[in-house]
Amino acid sequence: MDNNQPRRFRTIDYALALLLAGIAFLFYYVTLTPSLSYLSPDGNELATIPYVLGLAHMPGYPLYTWLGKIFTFLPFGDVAHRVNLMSAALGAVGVGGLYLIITSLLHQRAASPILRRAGASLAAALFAFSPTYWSQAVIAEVYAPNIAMVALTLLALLHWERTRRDRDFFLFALVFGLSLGTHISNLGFAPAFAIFILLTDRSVLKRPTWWIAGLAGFALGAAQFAWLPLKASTLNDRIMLEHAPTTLKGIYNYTLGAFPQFKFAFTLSEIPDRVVVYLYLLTHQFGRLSLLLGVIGMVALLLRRSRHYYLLVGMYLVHVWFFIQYRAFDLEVFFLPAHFIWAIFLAFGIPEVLGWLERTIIRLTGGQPSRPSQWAMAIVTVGLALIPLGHNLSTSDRSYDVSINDFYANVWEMLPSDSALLTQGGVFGYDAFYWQLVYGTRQDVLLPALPTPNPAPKDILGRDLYSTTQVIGPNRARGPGGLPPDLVSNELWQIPILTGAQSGTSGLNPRGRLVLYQLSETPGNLVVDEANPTIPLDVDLKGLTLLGADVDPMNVESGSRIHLTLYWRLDRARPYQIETALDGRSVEIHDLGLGNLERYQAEIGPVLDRVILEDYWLVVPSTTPEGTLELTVRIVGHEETITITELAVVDQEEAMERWLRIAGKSSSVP
Amino acid sequence: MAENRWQIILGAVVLLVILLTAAFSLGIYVGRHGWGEEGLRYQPPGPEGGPGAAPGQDFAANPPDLVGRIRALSQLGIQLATQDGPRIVEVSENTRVEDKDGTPLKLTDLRLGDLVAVFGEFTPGNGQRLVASQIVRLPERAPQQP
Repeated sequence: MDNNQPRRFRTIDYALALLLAGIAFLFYYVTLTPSLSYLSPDGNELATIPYVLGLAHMPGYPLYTWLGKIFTFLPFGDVAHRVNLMSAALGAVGVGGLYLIITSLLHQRAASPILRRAGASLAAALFAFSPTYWSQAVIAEVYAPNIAMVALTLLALLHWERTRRDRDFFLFALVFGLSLGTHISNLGFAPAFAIFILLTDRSVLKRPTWWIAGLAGFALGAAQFAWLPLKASTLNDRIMLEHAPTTLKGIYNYTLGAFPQFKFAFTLSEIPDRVVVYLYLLTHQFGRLSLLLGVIGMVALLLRRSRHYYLLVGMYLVHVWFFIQYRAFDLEVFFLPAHFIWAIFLAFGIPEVLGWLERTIIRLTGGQPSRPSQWAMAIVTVGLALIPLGHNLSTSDRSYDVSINDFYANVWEMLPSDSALLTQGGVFGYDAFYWQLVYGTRQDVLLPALPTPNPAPKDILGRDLYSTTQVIGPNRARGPGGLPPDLVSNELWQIPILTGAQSGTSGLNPRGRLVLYQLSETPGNLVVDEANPTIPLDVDLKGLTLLGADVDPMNVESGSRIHLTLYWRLDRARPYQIETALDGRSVEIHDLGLGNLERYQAEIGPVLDRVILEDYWLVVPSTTPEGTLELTVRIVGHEETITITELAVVDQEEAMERWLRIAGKSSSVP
Repeated sequence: MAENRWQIILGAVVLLVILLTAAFSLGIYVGRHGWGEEGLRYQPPGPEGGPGAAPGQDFAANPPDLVGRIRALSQLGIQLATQDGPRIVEVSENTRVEDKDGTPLKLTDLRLGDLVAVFGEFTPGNGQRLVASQIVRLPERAPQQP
């Protein structure tokens, strides 16, 4: 009998795996992002591409796209919600799979069965509720589905280890090949798999059927990348188009050769800092004690299951080695497979400590371990999972993240017929593209950046122009999502007419401001000589006086908007920032004069001692509770808050219903 | 059994190398940055000035309270995109603004998209607002792809 063989699963193991996955799914579901989100830079693209069966950014993610398509058939929520749900569901599969991997590998000498299962449950729960994994399980992204694929790959490999049947090896190779479609970095696990196979049974190398099974399985799984040239014509991102996968070289550049500037981007002298960055991210997931427990686990793994040590440490080292040298601003998510494997090390460390405790208790009390004491230790062990759960629940909760949908729902309502909406291009434009690609929303409105990242002035000729990105002046959006500089005249005025929630806890928008601008040849009524507000205020704020305001309507549906006009008199020439808030919750911040005051003064005339008129619409977040709420303004840097009026906020229509209605769907079925 | 022994010995060597690498890296890091977390944050900026990079300079002795990229600014305040999301930085006449090398700057010298380190005090509440005593403009980095 091979002592290194993984254990067969018992019914209790399947039940516990299902329970853990169920609990994880429940928490992911409760904290799920309702629809679109800026949490990930690619998230809105990854929410849209599965529905339209297009081609995602490098390296294409075909399997992710197909799995996402299946989830888009769910009969509730909008399409983005359903794709978010895929992350929750497959994230939970990853947690259940982790438990099964651990429990099949834990050695019986480590501790009693009940404590082994408790330790395995704790390790799986620590991973499930670690901040980075949780954050990826509640948005449309590839990382949670990828963990499910990594778990399935390992389970398939361990299953082959038990049976040594060629058909099981085919299954492993197939799942491994498929897993490249959720993240191509999984290919880096291949050397560890090869070493493990050699250590398990070298004789398979002499079996032609084994070779055929492995190569055929992997080729079948990897054949998904034929999707790339098939769908290359759907690309609309400037960088992706430069490396369009229409030739063999293009396919290489789009997959294995993707983002070369990110890879091995640090000099040798920088590597120690990068190692510490990784260690920091690791401790951020599991706590500092996890370093010690993980090392204990690695030692235990080496002594008790040496070839699995080579498998897991090999996978782990290749992954960490590659990504510590990877220059990405969202680096933490790339380490998730390494954290997954570290959770297995933890699972080996925890029962070792528990087993030592158990043996110590036996020595001290004499005789056999009592069942109640084992249960007590097991309950305490599993109960430790409440620590990360409680600690990370509030920061992982994205259920309030409605700002993009609220904003665009109002944008579609406000835009006049046959206008053009200038948005960021490529991957970063999908917060707007989503609506037209998925729901065909406002087809009369042209999104020039949707078909091409380089729209020409003739494309928008004769249309009223609006934008959700800065397209004029020195603050014009540049970078991969930026529009061509000559698309619109620099002479135009970019006038904010709608602002979405952009700060505060109710509508955090990490990417910046949600503003709809109207592009106009004149600055409009920015500065006038007389004010006649319906709500006179006349509050002197040392250099700036708030003369009054107009608010309409006074009863507003949450998720809808109010028309706000603020009348200011500037007595001293200084820039100011104005913050509006509802019941003390910040909604948005803007520059006095909506960003155009300086230019007005330079090109039109003086603004001092005249009335500055800020006339715009403000989105009331759909998370705003029903009731009478104070609408206030404040100058950033000043303590004094000015109450403008009391708004009656009603909530007669669910946010999702509202978004779908405006998107053009009367029901949730796409 | 002998084969297993060699596997364990080799595995132990690998583990030792991992631990030594980690310890060596930590030692180098502490030598460069102290025990602070500033050295951990030097990542490139996100798209369109998203979560910002951290300082290239050594703030080990006195780590800043916020590091991020300017999203909006005025004479009285700055909206900053940080790794932890947007933060409001309030400024007053007493706020010092300077370049990385200590050259004094005016607030008007700062531009949207600039990477800054901010020292000051958070106002009571949810930790999203900070009254700045000093703002240091950090060196620019090249924009990145997604």
